[in-house]
Amino acid sequence: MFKRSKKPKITTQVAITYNVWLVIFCQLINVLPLILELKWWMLLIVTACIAWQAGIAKKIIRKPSTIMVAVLSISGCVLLALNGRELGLLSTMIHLITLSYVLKAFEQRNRGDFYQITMLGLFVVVASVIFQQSIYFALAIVFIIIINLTLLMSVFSPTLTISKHLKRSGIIVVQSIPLTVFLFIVFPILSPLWEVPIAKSAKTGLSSSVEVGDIASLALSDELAFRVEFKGAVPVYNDLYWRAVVMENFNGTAWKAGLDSTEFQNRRFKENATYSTSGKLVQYQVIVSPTYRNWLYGLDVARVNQMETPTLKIVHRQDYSLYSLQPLTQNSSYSVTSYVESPMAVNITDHSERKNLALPLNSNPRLTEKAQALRKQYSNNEELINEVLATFTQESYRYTLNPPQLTNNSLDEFYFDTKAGFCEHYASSFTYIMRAAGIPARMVTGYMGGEFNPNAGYFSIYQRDAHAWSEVWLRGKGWVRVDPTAAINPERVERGLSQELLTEQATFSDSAFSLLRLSNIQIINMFRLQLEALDYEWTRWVIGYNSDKQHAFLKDIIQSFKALKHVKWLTVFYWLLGLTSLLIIWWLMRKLSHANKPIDANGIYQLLLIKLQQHGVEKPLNFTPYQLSKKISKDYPELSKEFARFTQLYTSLMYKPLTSNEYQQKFTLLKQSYQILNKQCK
Amino acid sequence: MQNLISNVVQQVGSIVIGKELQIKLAIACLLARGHILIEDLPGMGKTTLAQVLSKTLGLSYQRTQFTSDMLPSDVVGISIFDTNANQFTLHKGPIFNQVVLADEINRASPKTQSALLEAMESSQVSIDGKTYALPNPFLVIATQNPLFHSGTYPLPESQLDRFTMRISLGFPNIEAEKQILGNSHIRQNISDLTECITDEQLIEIQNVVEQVHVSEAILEYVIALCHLSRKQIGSVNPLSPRAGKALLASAKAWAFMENRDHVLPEDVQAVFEAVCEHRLDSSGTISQTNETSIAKQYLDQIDPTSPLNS
Repeated sequence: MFKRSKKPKITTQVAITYNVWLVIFCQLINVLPLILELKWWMLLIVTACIAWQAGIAKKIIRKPSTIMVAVLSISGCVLLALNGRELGLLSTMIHLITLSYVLKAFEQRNRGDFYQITMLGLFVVVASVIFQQSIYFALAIVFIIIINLTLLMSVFSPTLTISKHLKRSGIIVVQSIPLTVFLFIVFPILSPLWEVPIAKSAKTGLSSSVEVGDIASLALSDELAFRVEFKGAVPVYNDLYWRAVVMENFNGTAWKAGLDSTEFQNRRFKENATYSTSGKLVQYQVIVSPTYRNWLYGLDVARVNQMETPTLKIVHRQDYSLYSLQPLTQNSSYSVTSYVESPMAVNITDHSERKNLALPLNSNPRLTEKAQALRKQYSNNEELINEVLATFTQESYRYTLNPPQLTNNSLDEFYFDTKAGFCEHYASSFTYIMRAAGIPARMVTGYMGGEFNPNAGYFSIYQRDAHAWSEVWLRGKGWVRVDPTAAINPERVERGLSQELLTEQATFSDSAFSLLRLSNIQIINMFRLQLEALDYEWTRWVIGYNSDKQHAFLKDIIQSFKALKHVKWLTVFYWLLGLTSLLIIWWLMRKLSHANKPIDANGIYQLLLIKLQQHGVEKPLNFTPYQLSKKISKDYPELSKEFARFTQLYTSLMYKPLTSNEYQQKFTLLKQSYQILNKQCK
Repeated sequence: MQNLISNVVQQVGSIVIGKELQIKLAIACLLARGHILIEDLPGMGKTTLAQVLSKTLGLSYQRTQFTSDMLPSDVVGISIFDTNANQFTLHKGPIFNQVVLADEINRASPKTQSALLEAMESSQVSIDGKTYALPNPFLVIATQNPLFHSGTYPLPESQLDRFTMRISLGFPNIEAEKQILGNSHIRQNISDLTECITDEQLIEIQNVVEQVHVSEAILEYVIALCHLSRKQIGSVNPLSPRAGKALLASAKAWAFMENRDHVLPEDVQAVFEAVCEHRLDSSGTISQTNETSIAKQYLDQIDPTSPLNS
């Protein structure tokens, strides 16, 4: 009859007490980060379930029966299965885990259920990190995890206040930082088991086709497009034309990237173009935010250093753009060398020339007429180009983010009537005129300029830096960049969008409160740049820390040891690593056992009882300490003497009136006696 | 002081032969300022025990035989008009003694029972609107026949609760019985007894007993035992806080008699059955068979070293 052995069974049966509202709050904030990734019907289910729980807590509604929950979960699964194809594997799994999370909450019966819910909750929160990787988001997630831990802790000691638990879980999270960093650095990084789905439209950014108005709509986006860190010399600001997409096909209203159907079928877009490069070069590293598209950015003429870019497979296309074979689903980094003076395609192929002269019939008759008139006037291509650019400056053309609406024959209307537009209006009509005048020309979209962050020494290029310009092919020079925007609004290509232009637009903008708006206030600007720098380092070192970097990092450490030779440093390193891990584990165990260590005499007594039990001595439940001592002296004479002493000390501590001095003295003796008995038991 | 008490125990033991445990319990009860209910068959020495106790302690003593026609005034006393003095004078009842032996209490009507029990609780009686304090120390030893005997009015739970202990003498063993039968001068012996202790000494001892140290662990043990009774469903009566207090007071007295200034779990165990069995099982009588009492079962279920976890 030793009741202690029955204990665990009993505790699992015990119903637990917790703050229902804290549970509901936790569910709410756990699902919140996923709100953009979940389908509307899933959000509906989540909201309904959480509202239902609130109803139960308020005692308005009854708890759903087990059958009801089963029906709900089965129908949810069916719904998921039906939508599975559209959602893709990862998204389906995330939907599933969210569904089980909100439904499981109806089944809180005992501690086991509660643990499951908390674990599911943590899974749900962490799942959102797949989609959002900024440092701010990460911090928010850490905070949500702290709240989850608070909930968990409040179950263990329901008497303490929430604020106390919050403080404690905060401390736990802070304490876990060293271990986290350690594991982050040395734990093998495995490639994910899932494919991040490709968003079909959602993202802002450049696409493979452009209509007038497309880029103007980006001009107010403060979203980061990519970051660049130059190694060595930095080119002057107005040479920072980041080429992204080259558009050679025009259908009358929209420009499209040069992938016609035959090219697509021949999979030529995957071919690596061969072209020679030479001359002055700049080198830089690009970290690009996920676009879910394949276009990459580079200065002309860009060559990717594939050696330093293990994660991306990049092809150099015939039109000098860079193309990743996988869509950019996460922050990616690549290294580029640009030969800034190298000419592009001095010899043009017939196919390419035909393509870059092609215009749809009757699309913009007035512009065609104008071009033909110019052609008659100027036989020299360069003179003709200058004349067209001069027209933009001399006549009353206006550069605006907010151009008047154009009807179908957009370019005619813009050029002759409204005379107000953004970069793509000018680039588009310029390219049109060139083609109509018989000069091979094409649209290029990309980004212009960027913001230099002096704190970390890199350029940030935002969506608002999106730009469109033209390229014309001139005999002997190859493709030459012509930016009509530079003619109409030189400030744009020298310093980026002007404050004037932005204030003009501010009233139409939904992000009028963005910090960027305030960039003319110096302190705020400095603060903003600091934040940016922080995010940059985060992206570079934490998000970008992949298995190759890990390998390199560990190798670096080993390398630094290599200065001392004749020792197998690799072995030493791994030994050290192993020892450190063991030390940490030992430390944690000690910490844990310390937490469980008896702090009072009775604790020691109970501990000794367990030891005695292992030795074969069972204490009958109703035995008092002295009765046990008597029994032991009879049955186990080898323990008798010390146990009698132990019992004497224990009873004094437990039942006698003692001064605190006496207590301490006896307690020390009791601990010593325990150690002796512990040894004897073994 | 402990010597005085052990003398008392010895002297009582020389007359009431072979019943050391019951004697000790009775004295412990006295030291804890409690009252005793002795339940046993006729002729087991209930009266002798009460007589010897009072004689040894040097206390005034009166025996009252309870019968079904008894009135409350037969216990507490009555005012009678004295024609000489031309006023009512109080004729004090047997209750005005330090030791009151209420023999066969369950044969009296409930009304009379209550009169006695009220006096026990408050140590005072009211007669004709006047309140009289009862002597100090004041001990009621009630005896009762087992409830299955005819012509008995069982005491209700509320009144049983007033008795700190219920003890049973039980049949003596052969050795003891030989002595009892061989000794023909018991009555004579009782009248020859000298008192071992004065009133003042007894009161002082009672005060010392109150000062015996009770640690938190003991409190938890007592509470655990009480809680166990409250969790049970069925014919068992839960133990009230008054029962807990009585248990603790008796345990203190026991510890004192064991020469200790602090209570050990052993003390609680020693008095638990006597203090609690009649409260737990009010309908039953002391079992004459070997069946385990409820109190013993309870003791077996609680671990004195970690009472609240058992």
